[in-house]
Amino acid sequence: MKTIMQKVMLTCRDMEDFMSDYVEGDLDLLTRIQFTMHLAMCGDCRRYLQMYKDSMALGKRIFDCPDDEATGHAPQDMINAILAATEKK
Amino acid sequence: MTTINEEELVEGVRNGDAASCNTLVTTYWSDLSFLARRMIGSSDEANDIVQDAFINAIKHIATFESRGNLRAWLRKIVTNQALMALRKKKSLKEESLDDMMLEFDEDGHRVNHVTEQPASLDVLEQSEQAREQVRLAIDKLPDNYRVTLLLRDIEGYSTREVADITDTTEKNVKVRLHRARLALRNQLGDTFRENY
Repeated sequence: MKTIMQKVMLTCRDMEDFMSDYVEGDLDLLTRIQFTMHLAMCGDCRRYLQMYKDSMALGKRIFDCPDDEATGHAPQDMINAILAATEKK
Repeated sequence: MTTINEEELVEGVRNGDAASCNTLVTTYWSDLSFLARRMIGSSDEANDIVQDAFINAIKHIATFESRGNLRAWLRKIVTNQALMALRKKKSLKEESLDDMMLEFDEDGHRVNHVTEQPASLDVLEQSEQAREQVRLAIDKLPDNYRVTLLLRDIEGYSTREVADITDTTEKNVKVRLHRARLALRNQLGDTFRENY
């Protein structure tokens, strides 16, 4: 049988389930309090949450300024094909 | 990206000026190619998608509102082209992400501790190795998760819009987004563990 504390406290698995809603600000008040309480006591979840947020931010930053990769310049044959297909007669 | 006068460029494309069309393609190719490649997961197909997107854009440039954001408009066209290609391949079906999830014991505790220390985003962003790992991690996601993550977190569509675009429910979008974010984070564990 679970103790009252066990019933009130979220597990690390619960934390993972609620993480997206927490980041989006969609958690109800009670769950948000439980989430915050768990964070205060669990270093694993604090680090996990930080890297969850960092992964999102890093993905966005990289997409906002793509530079390198093999995308490079437009191949000339592609440019020619586009111009030919859109040329006004 | 070189600074260009967007209004003049659009006007030139509207008038069928070949030089303006050329500038449009060369200016936005890299950006759109990067997006298409992430959406579709294949470089060759991405080129075809971007080519078709430019043809559509130039043909329908009259529908672009002059005060709008040209880059965003072009990205929307590429997104639609990529989704059409994915639908043709029927690859937007549900797939499992279980092998990218962390394990918990029966009491809900983590099987393995989270030992990585959050690194500086600025440092990671400057690291070509880290950037490559992020790209690979996104590419590894199954199509339906990858597309949801890109549309919601990168392109900034709302949950409702992503649901409409991908023909699913808002609830399903939230579930896919959540699991895609977890999978991304879990795949990047080693990236954060490295000393950049």
